[in-house]
Amino acid sequence: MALWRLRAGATGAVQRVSGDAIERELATFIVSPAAAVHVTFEDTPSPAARDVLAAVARAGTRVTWTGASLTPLAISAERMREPSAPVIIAAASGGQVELRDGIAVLDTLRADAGATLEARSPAGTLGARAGHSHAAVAVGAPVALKPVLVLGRASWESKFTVAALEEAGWAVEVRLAVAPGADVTQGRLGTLDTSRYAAVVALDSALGPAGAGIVRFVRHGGGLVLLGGAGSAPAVRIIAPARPGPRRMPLVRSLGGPLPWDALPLYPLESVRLDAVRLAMRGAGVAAAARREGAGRVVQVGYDETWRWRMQGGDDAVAAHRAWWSRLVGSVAASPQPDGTEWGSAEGAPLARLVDALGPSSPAPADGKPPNHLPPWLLPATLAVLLAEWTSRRLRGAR
Amino acid sequence: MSDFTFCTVQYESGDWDSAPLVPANLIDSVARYTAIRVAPSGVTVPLASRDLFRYPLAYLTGHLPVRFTDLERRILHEFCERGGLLFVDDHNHDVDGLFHKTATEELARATGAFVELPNSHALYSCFFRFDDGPPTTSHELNGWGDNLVHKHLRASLHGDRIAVLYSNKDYSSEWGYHPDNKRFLSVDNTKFGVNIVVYALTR
Repeated sequence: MALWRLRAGATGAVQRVSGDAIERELATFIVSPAAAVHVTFEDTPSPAARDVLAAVARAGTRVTWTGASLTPLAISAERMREPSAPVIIAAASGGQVELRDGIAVLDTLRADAGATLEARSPAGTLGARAGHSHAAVAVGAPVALKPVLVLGRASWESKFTVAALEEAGWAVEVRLAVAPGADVTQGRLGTLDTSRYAAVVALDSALGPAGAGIVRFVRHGGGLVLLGGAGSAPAVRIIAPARPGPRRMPLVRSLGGPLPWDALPLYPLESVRLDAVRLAMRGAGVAAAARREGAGRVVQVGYDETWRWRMQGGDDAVAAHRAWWSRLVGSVAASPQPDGTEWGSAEGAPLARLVDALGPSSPAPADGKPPNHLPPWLLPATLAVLLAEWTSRRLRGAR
Repeated sequence: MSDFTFCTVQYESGDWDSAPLVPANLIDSVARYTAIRVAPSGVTVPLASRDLFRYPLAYLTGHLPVRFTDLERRILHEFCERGGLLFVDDHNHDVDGLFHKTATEELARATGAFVELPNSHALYSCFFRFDDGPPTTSHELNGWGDNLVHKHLRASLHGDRIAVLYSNKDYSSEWGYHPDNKRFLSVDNTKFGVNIVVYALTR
């Protein structure tokens, strides 16, 4: 290797290549490798070009690159577990970024500190472009979700929760207590199992006969939403992220404002478990928290009477209430596929991949100077040492 | 969880307060037969007020012609769009009467066309069972009003949910008595009213 390097270095050649010519130069790289290659990228290199350069570098050629016009662009996408299967696209570029799917431009956003966009039904690969840089991620196909089971008492909350979920496309089965021994049911109400249900929504402490199976359901991968005071029900207390405190009436009366949450009654979440994540606060109190339990997830929301938001909120309240409920259930719903398996994010951050493969950008080495050249004093010094050794041996009579 | 509060709608035209005993009677029945938390007194809310949105089940009745104002029509439309249910009963029990013609016309303008509600609808089985559909009233059986026994209720639907439930059967007369007098009935005739409340709270 050292001889090859010396030989190559002796040629003193630094091959200068444009980024878009790398794949064409592949044969040259193999047949007559240069001591060094310097690539100037005007555009984001393709994965193939990057892999060629990485291979050349591993074969001993010093590879350097510059790309003044490249932007540190990154994109990621996550399909939400909701019936409409929207995709949340996140991009960061330090500036303006254009997001598109396989058909058309979706939007152009300022992404100085990152930006997100929700796309209802994007087609094909999702891409982002900022200046001369582009990144792309593949979007997996939507998966069919199992029904949701709603438990509680007959109330306005139950009516409007079921309505919101159904309007969002969820299949909803229901057991609502009306009187002792008398429930209103909807759907076939099978065994509480992840093969039948994606999630359970507990609206209050009236969980009925299904309550006994909720803990097992969650530990096997099911989702659980606990609303208001439902977290105090004995059947779910041991897996709840927190304990609901005494119910507090809101200080704000208008549900038409920008923060409808502040106008809803709240069971502040107390004694939040160490393994729970706080999701929302009202003042100093915790309004929502979530945790994992076995293979499943539990989210607990202290707000009560969310139906008032839908009935008394602003013009978009019905849609907002529907979307909120759908996303809340989707955040815990059991998914037929493990998270992340459907996402091809290989080119989500191409500049980072380039740095990972070739190191950071650096100026081209000067022509004629081998990349790993020996110091100029080394050869005379070596000869002097050898001469001294020979002289010493001759003087001592050694051969 | 808030209590269920029975709401009577007050509108500009006609005699909206023609059945003042119905709310207390139905509140009594809901409390008597179910575990639903119910406010002991009902409320009266103007149809032109957005306060109506605090009460997703509302009751409207009368004998006289009904003409909604523009604001009343808008509020009613929005009430149903948001998911509220308006129960309208023709206190006149008269198909060709002025209430029926004008009320159905106004309601259709505000909330959409009416359809005949099948007697297999969940409304008739969600709590008490009414295998033959809406229970008859003494006014129907006695031949008062239009001299008809109406076999179906009608409804304006929002998706598959009832937005407006319309009755020609004159439940307003049938249920218009003091709750204590239920003891004189062999069969409590307000049970169907309980079904309306349970349906509204669960669908």
